[in-house]
Amino acid sequence: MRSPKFIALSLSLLLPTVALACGWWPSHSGEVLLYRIMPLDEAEYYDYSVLWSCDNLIHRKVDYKADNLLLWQRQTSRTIPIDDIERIVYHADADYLLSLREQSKSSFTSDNAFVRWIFTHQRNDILDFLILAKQNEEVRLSMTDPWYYDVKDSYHYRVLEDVVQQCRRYTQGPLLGRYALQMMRALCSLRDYQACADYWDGIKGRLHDDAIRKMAELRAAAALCKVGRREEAFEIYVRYGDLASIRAVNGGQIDNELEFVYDRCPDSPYLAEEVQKWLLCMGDDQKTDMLLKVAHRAVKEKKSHQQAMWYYTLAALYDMKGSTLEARKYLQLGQRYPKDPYLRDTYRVMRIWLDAKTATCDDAYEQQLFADLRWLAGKIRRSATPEVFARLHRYDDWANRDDDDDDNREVYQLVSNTFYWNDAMRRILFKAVCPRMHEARQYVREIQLANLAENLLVKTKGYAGEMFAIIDRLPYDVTREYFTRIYQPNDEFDRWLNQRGKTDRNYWFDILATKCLRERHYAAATYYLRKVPVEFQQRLNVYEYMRRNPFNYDMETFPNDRSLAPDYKLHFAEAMLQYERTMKSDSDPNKRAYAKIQYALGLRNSVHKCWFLTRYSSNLDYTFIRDAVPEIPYPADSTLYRHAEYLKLSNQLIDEAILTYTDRDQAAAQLRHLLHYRCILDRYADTPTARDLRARCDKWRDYNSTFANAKLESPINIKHLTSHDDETNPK
Amino acid sequence: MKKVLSLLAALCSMLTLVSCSDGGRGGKDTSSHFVHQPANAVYHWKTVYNPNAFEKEFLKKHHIGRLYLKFFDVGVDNLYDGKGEQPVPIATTIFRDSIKHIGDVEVVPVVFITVEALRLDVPNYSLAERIIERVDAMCWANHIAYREVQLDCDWTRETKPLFFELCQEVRRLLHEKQKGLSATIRLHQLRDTLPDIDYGVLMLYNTESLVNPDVKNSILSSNVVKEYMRHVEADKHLDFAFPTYEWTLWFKDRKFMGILRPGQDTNVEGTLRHETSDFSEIIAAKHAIRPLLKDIGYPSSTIIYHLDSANLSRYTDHEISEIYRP
Repeated sequence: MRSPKFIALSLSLLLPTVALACGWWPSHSGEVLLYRIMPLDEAEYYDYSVLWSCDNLIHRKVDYKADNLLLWQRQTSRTIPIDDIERIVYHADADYLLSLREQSKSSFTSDNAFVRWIFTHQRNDILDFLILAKQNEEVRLSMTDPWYYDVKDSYHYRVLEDVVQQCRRYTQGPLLGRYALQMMRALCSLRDYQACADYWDGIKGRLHDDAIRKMAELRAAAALCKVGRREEAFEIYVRYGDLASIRAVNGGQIDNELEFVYDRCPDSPYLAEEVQKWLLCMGDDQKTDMLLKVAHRAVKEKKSHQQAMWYYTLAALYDMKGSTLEARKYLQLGQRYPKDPYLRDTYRVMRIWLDAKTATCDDAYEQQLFADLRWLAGKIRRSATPEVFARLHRYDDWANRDDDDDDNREVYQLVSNTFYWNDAMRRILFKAVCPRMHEARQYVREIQLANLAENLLVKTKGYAGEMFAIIDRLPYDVTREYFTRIYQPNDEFDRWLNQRGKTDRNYWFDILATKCLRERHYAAATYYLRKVPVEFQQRLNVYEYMRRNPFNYDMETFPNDRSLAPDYKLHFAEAMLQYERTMKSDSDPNKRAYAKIQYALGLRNSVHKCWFLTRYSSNLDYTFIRDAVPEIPYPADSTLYRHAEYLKLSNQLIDEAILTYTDRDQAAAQLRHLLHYRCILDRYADTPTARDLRARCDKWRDYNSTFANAKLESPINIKHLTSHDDETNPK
Repeated sequence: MKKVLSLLAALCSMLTLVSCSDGGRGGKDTSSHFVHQPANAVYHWKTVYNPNAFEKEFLKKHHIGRLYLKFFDVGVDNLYDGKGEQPVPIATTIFRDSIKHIGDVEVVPVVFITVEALRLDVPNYSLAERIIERVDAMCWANHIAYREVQLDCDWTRETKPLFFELCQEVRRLLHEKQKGLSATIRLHQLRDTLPDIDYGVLMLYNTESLVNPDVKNSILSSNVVKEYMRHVEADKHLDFAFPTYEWTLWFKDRKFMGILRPGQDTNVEGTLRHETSDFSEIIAAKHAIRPLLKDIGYPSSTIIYHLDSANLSRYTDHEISEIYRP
């Protein structure tokens, strides 16, 4: 039973897909967004409401921060570490800077090289500027607070007007550009766009070509737009390749904005953001083709310095289109271009993915896969922050909070796309490698890899999710072989995988036993179940159901008997084993018949009301996770659905058993348990059971055939036992 | 002797008016000079303040002394600033006309608090301070000299402690400024203790569920009001708000589909239920509450919901006067 909360969240996750045809959202909740040229803000992705606005996923914003820090270094001293400059320029607040200003009057020394340089060189003008800039920034930030209400003459306005006045007074000096930028920002916040545009017109000729000018010019473009000089603003945005602003000014009238920017500013820092967004956009053929066109031009023309990014884009697009070989070709071509560490790693992830889709499952590939997985596992371990674990645990708790929630398969789906390296490994293994191993009949490796994917980061509960879906569909003998390899590994890869998977003995004993019960290997089931302690059984999600007598005659109504729970499966397996032996070899036909009936009841119940003997969930519908696990015609898939098969066999065994009885009253007594009154009265009318039945049955309809059949929904084929149907039909 | 009695009566009346500022049970003793005066009043519940000639004339003609003007709602939003979901003001009223144009009418800023915002547990966050600061800013910007703030919230037993805590804090802050706090009270809320406020406004509308296909008129039923009156015992002063609006509700297969605007009710598949605020029902409801709730501490006032010419024009001046009659 899936919890209402989970359904609600799943629906909310799916909703954006429906709402936004070209939405920034995978086609289903479990799918991992594999193509990355830049890190996404995965913490935001975790909050599903962010899906309404993909912009929040883009982690890296064009802010000229690095250039600005370098400029500060150039303006002060190249010996000052950038980190020290950043700590003061970007992380200190106005109050702290004011306190520094006070301390500069005394013989204060700082551990920050930037501050020391200012003090040593008596450059209080820098501190004064930074205080002004911080005050400006803090007020402007508070004006973006949703609680802010714009009031002229307010404190905010007074501070900004003061900033403007101070900036105006700074007419020459090394910080002219910086003061100009602060003034333009303050004017825009005061909504005096005309003053800002006018000021820009006057000052632009005096500014150096550096990061500050870039920031000021982009600010000027915003003001120009507001005062109706849209063409000039557009021209600035085009020069910088600021795609979002181009779109805003132009009203989306350019067909292929990406190409438009690429043509005019092939090294625009905004392009990477945009390409990443487009790569997240799944299933939009038109966009894919537009991006494909630009990427092809970029790698051909070599005008852009971001060649590695464009080759990766081509590989991703061809993979998306299903052309794996083309994808491999472009990925290989892009290998030789310089790239940042993040892109270097995502190149490797993409290569592993493409290998998995195309390689032959031989020893060479296994070795390659082993090396790749070792690298990826290391990457996952190094990158997993406490937040990642907290997220997983939070969802794990959340998904399993309801008493009626009998599985936790949703946990990884809910957190998909929140930790790229692990998500990527899961996608590679479940979507590509495991199916390949399955095709190659390397079932043990398939289980091992699924186990790694599921349990490397956190040990899952293990009765749901993709790994469980795979092992649940594989037969007992394959699972046993896997289990053997846990303790007798064939090679180093086995050992490595065993160390990282879920290898808890009790867990596997119970699974093996359950598979044995499902496949009627009762002796083997007994062997495994004797090793599973009661404490472990009590932790099973199905333990609470183990109150039903598995040899109950009634098919639907089971009395609650808590005492049955400890070693429930073991007692069942032992009883079935005993009945099996008796029905096959006992010399007394009545004992054989009785054992056969009990065996038939156990068999029927084990797939019906006592399903927890042969499964871990009443829900066998894996379609929900097949989004993540590919559809594979698992050979033993049918073992999941033995309900019809065993019910038919059970009926057949009961029929045989009744005919086996030589003691007619015992046969009648069994039929009475099975509620076949009509059959008793017709065929065993001379027995004490029939006499008793007649004496107690004071209503004709109790053995009226129509009523009896309708009410009892008899599973037994009593037709051949009954010879006088018409006699009992009501007229 | 008569003179002495009259003097005593007048003195008692004055004391009552002054003491109403802290009539709540269990509220903190926050001294205040806030005095709630009886007056004809009306709600303004639109997102744009721009009263037309009829509405301005209505204020004059019916001697409206107080306008309860909804300033904004407090909802919930994620601002992607790393703080997750937080309370934010939404649907802020835009002032297209100056408040000066309605003369001496006292404006009471009303803030609607959603229960989602109440439920948010944001550390180091004073919702009360935020609300008061924003009301101050809006009043300053729009030249409104306010004397009290009203909070409107559909609190239930579950959210009651949260709302009460908010009221306590808002009231404390307002009393520091010599201002008062009132709150809307729904009929079902009357069964409970009332929050820490200077007085309440009992909303005598939406008396039944509008989504229930079996209800005859969800806006106001004096019989339903009477039913509620059997279980109430208010210990705080209450003013009374009566509806003057109407709407058409759309049902399909007994399922509520929505509220239709005038003109929308053609070509709709299903059943339509047109509901009005019937004058006789308003008067009957007034009579139903009178014996138990009227004039607790000092005279109760009547408030009409809401200032909208399209609806108000359906009533005669006499009827409006009757609604306001003490």
